[in-house]
Amino acid sequence: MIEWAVVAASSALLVAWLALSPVADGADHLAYDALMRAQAGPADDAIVIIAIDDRSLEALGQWPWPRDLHARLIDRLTQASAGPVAYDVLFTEPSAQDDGLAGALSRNGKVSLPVVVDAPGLNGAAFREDAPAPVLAEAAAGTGHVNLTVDNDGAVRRLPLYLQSGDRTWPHLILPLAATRRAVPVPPAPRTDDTLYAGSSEAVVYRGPPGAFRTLSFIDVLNGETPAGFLKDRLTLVGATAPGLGDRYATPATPHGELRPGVEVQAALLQTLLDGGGPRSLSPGWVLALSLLPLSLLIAGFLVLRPAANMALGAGLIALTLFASAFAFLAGDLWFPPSAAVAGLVLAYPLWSWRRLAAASAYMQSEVEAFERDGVGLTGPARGGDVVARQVDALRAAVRQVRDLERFISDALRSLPDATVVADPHARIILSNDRAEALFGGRLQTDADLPLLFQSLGEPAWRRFLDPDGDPGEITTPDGRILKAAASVLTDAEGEPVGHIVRFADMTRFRAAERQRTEALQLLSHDMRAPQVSILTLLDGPAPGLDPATERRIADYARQTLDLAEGYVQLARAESQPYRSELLDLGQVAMDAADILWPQASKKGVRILTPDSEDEYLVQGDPALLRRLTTNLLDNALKYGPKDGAIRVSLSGAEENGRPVCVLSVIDQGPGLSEDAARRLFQAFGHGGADHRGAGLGLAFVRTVAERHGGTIRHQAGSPGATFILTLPRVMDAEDSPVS
Amino acid sequence: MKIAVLDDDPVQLEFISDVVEDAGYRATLFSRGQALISALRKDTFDMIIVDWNLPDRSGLEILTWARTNLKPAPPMLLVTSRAEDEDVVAGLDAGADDYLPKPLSKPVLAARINALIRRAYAQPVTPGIETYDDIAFHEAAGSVARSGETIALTAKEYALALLLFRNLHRALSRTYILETVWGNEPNLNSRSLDMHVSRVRNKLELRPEQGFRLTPIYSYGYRLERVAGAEAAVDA
Repeated sequence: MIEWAVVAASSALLVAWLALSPVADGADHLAYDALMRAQAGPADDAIVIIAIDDRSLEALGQWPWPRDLHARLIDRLTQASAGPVAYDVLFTEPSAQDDGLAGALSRNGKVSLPVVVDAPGLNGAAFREDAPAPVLAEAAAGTGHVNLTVDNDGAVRRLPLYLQSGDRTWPHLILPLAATRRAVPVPPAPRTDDTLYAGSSEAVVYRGPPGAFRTLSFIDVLNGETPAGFLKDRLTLVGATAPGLGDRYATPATPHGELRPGVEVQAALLQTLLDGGGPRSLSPGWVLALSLLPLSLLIAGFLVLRPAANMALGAGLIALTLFASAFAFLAGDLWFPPSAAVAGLVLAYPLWSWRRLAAASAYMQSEVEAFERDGVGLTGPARGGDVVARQVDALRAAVRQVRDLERFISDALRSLPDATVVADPHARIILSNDRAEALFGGRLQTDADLPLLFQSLGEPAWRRFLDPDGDPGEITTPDGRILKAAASVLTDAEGEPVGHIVRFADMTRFRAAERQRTEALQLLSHDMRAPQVSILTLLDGPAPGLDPATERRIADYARQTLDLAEGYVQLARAESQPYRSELLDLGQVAMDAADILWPQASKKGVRILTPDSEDEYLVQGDPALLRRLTTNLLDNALKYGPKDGAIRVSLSGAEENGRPVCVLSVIDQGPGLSEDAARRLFQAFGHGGADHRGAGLGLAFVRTVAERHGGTIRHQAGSPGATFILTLPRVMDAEDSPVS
Repeated sequence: MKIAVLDDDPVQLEFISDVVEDAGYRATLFSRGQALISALRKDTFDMIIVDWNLPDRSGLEILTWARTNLKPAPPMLLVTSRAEDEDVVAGLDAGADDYLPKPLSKPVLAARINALIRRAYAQPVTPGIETYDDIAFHEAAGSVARSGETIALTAKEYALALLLFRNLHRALSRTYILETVWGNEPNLNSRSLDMHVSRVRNKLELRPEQGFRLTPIYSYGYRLERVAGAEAAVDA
């Protein structure tokens, strides 16, 4: 944008300078002259030039001629009833024949004589006036200036209708002739200083090359060889056309550099005035404004158009400017110099292109470097060409790698095992994979957005899935599927959100399996237990027809079945269910377990010795599971230990891998375990001894629970018996202080 | 005393009925939940014993219905073959005063029924000395003696021990214990309660060998039980 402003300002300044200074005049003159040639038309019949040409000079002798010749010519004109005469011959110095000439002038009464006003004058005067000799000026109808204004290329394009200095005003020599047909411009207001001013400048319209006007040779008119009546009422100019007399000027509409006699310039001015005036020039302000207009259009175009369109716009504006200039000149008699505007257009485009190329090149360079920093290797061969071409090659290589990477990411997205969609910050879907298409079908087509997708799943508030801490739960779709949706906000390198990514995991089968598992557990925990419970209840009462031994065996089998079901349910829950977490004293847990097993222990005469230390061994865990774990360990010891023996439970603290642990040991006096048994000990459905009373699930439960609490269980063979050692992470700093 | 018994298993129904009659109460038997609810609308029972799993209505529904519609609700005992800890808590939360897992044992069932009836309809305790087997609470002195030997307890430990003994065979929720012993004291937590229970248990030697068992109930609270010699023989 800054570049744009600089280009705009600099080209505008250039245009202004060209429009207001004469620098571009040369180009403007070319256009002007071409247009002037296009205006060539017939010369006005009413104008006649009496030429002092080579033939007249040959016949009448060297210039200057005696003034009698001029007196005779004027008399001829008088006889022929010619119209007003502009006699473009200087009679500045007095001469002996002035009286005769004055007589002829008086007789005619319509002859104007020329004055030359040169600026600056001699000796510090503002101007020098070369006026006709006073006696001639007196006799003439009037005097007029014949000053020419020569442009800096030497051509005469404009002539002042009036010269002014102080309160002096000189009208142009041909004004009286023009006044015969049209009102001529009035003189401007008098000046206040002596400087010579050219006022009411009129652009001269040249009708074709020199010689267009009707021209008679001076000698022919003098000799009366002009057809009678030819000169009657014609506007007559008398002047030199012979090349030797030097009064010749470059003008527009002289195609091959020919010079035009001064008298023809005056005649052209006369015809211009008779035709109502030449093309008017625009004021500098208008020129400036109109020159800047096409430039500003182009500069504005830079902002919105592509380079090719800019090029076309520039060319179009150049053509339009030239056309408008020509149209105004030919149809509206208005002259707008187009070169400043055209130069602005021509220069602004490359200036802008250069700046854009420089910017693009710098950008490519920085992007290539950024790619290299980001580790995108630019392995493409650096081909020849200029700097920009090499940069383009490097960038192309980088872009190709990025495109490969994008395809890789896109392929990865497509291959994701869950339905996944990617949305822009306005939640409109921009990417999706096959599974998402399978899930949503046609709803992923045009204009799909996240609210729509979620609504199609029967879920109106999709944004709650964005909360990283929230648990939005699962979506049950109208067609009975269970989906787990997870959404997250995509952010760019600056952490600004650039979109959303949403994943829909199909939990239907998983949930179905889970439901089956729950139902199986339900079956085991109640439906299978209930008949066993009834068997035991029946045997508890009077059972006629059964001997006590059979009764006890049936009860044992029923109880085993119950234990098996219980062990299985406990193991399944220990493996899959979420755990509670409470602060527990392992000593109390051991005591609870011992109390639970007291009936069985006392029946077998076994004493369970629990630690009676005052020390607390705090662990973080699920109280029910840890109690059952300990119960299982004690139960195991009770089953395999001898009658009337003892089971010792000990508690101590230790460190394991630098962390404090509680160590709970259960030491029995049983037969001990073989290596093989020890290995299979903690597997489900294996068990350690020859006694098949247990189903072997108890220790698998112990291992599962210990590991899920971050602890371990291991077996140690004792000299007699076996020792099971449980370690659990110890909580040293209980924040809760006891209540007094 | 009239006790309503609901179980869809005729064997269980007869067993419970026997225990109720043996304890000296009158049993009215139901095998369908809806039938019990209809009876409760018209009749008054002094206690309700319900099974959890029934063909028509869940035992929990009946507990909830009774808590909502009977004022005052009679003591209610839930018997169930669902022995999971979560199930126990769900039953107590639904409004049961106590629960018993199946298979039922005669002395335990009888002890629970008696405990619930006694607590609901007992006369106010006479001030002075309360005795539970060899344990004597001296209310005036705020002290406890076991087999004549005085055991030093703090005021809170004394109150806790007395509360447990006065509610023998009854499940007490943590909230109930905290409110009764500590009132509405703030910054008191579960862990503090556990430590007090642990100290009372150690000081009074509430172990089965000594005739009493203190059982924690999963995430619910505690129950103190008297261990009868007969129970050990049957339950093994």
